[in-house]
Amino acid sequence: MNEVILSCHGLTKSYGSLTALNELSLDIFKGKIVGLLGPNGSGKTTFIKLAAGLLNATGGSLTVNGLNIGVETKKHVSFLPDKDYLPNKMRVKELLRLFSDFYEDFDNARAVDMLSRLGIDFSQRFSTMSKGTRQKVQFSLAMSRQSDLYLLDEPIAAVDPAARDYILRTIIQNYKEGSTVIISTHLIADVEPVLDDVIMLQNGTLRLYGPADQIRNDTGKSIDTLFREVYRC
Amino acid sequence: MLRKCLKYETKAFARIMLPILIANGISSTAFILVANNIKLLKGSLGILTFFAFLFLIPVMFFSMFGIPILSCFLGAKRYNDVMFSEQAYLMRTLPVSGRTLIICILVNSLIWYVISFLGIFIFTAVPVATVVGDRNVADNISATITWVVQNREQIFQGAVYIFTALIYTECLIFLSITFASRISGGKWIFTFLFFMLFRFLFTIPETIIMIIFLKEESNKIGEIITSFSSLIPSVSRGILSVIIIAYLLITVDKNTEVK
Repeated sequence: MNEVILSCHGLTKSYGSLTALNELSLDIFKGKIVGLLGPNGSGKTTFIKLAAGLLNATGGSLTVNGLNIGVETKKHVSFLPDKDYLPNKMRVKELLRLFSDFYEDFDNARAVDMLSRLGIDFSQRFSTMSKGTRQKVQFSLAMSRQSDLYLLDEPIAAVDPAARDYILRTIIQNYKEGSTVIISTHLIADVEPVLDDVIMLQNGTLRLYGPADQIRNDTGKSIDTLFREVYRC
Repeated sequence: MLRKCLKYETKAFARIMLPILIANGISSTAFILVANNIKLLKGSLGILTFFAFLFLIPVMFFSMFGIPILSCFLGAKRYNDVMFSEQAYLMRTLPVSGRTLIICILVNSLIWYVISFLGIFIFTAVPVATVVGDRNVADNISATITWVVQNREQIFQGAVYIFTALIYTECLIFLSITFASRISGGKWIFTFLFFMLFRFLFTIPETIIMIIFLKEESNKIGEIITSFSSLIPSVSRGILSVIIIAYLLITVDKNTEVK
């Protein structure tokens, strides 16, 4: 399957004098789990936020399913930020209703199943949950959509190792056939087994992009080892 | 989607405003009950005065100023939450345009301004009517309504003045938050500074409008305008509010970012 889901050409994003992404050009294909790797400040989160429609590009183009980022692309993109973003006052059942109301592709039964397995109390308010539980709720809601593209920014950073396994297992099992998952993370060793492709960014430019197996064969190293060598301080 | 957005925005407003409104209603009812029971006791004017001060003044003060001002600031807070805070990660990734989100906040603000004005009447006029004068409550309320009808022109002008002042302030805060978010990620001190700057700058067109209208005083149109001169600040604020809202609606999807 070589259909492009996300395409960017000369994508640039600046914050004042700071250039977070510099003339980035790449195509991401359907049906892949893609690792978006790079050190702090390499432009990973900026790239994901541009694709989610939270930022506007300074230059270049960015499309999802051939469409410029906007209301239409948001219907097909499921986004999980690296922070607690759900309203504190809302209960889990209210969040389920909100997602059901706004996203046509939201699978309520799947969300209920995922949250029940995690032992989440549906009447609990978001503000009263532990950081790990909040992350699980956010992840479950994001993965309960039947989206074409999942943008997961540091999905395993704030959870315990057992929950990490659950999250990675869920990514493999739950995402829609033919859809694409982009995972931005520092915890490469944990996600490496699930990755099809790897994108490495450095200072807002593309350092490396290719299939994970091919990179391992060519370099004779794991992605984790390669990352440590490439970005050695 | 507008309907769904309105539903959630209404809930967000009601979650804060409704308890305050209910508390206000309870205070007013308590005042009526206490005051009327004290009236039964002869020579208890001192106690009556004490309770009047204890209940009526805070109730009146909060009804007249608290709820409308709170509606204004809640609108501004919702704008900041929905467009720029952590919650924006949810709201701005919904398949809804930024325009729709702003319209929903404004519609809710307007609804609560109307409720506030009704609140002012209910939470002040009714309690006062139950204790003031020798007539019964129905007569007092009837007298109040008659007074309102007789002075409808001044009341209308006053209501328009307060309403435009509130909506104008809310729009200015929206604009200040938007500009502050562009240069500082939305620090409150920058919002405040932008608010002061815009407040100063926008006084200029208001002054120009006043000068134009005063020049027209000599002819017939001028006489008509002068008779409604107290509406001039309201009109200029209304026009500026519309300009600010139009600017925000046009630029929101292209220039407003969640950093």
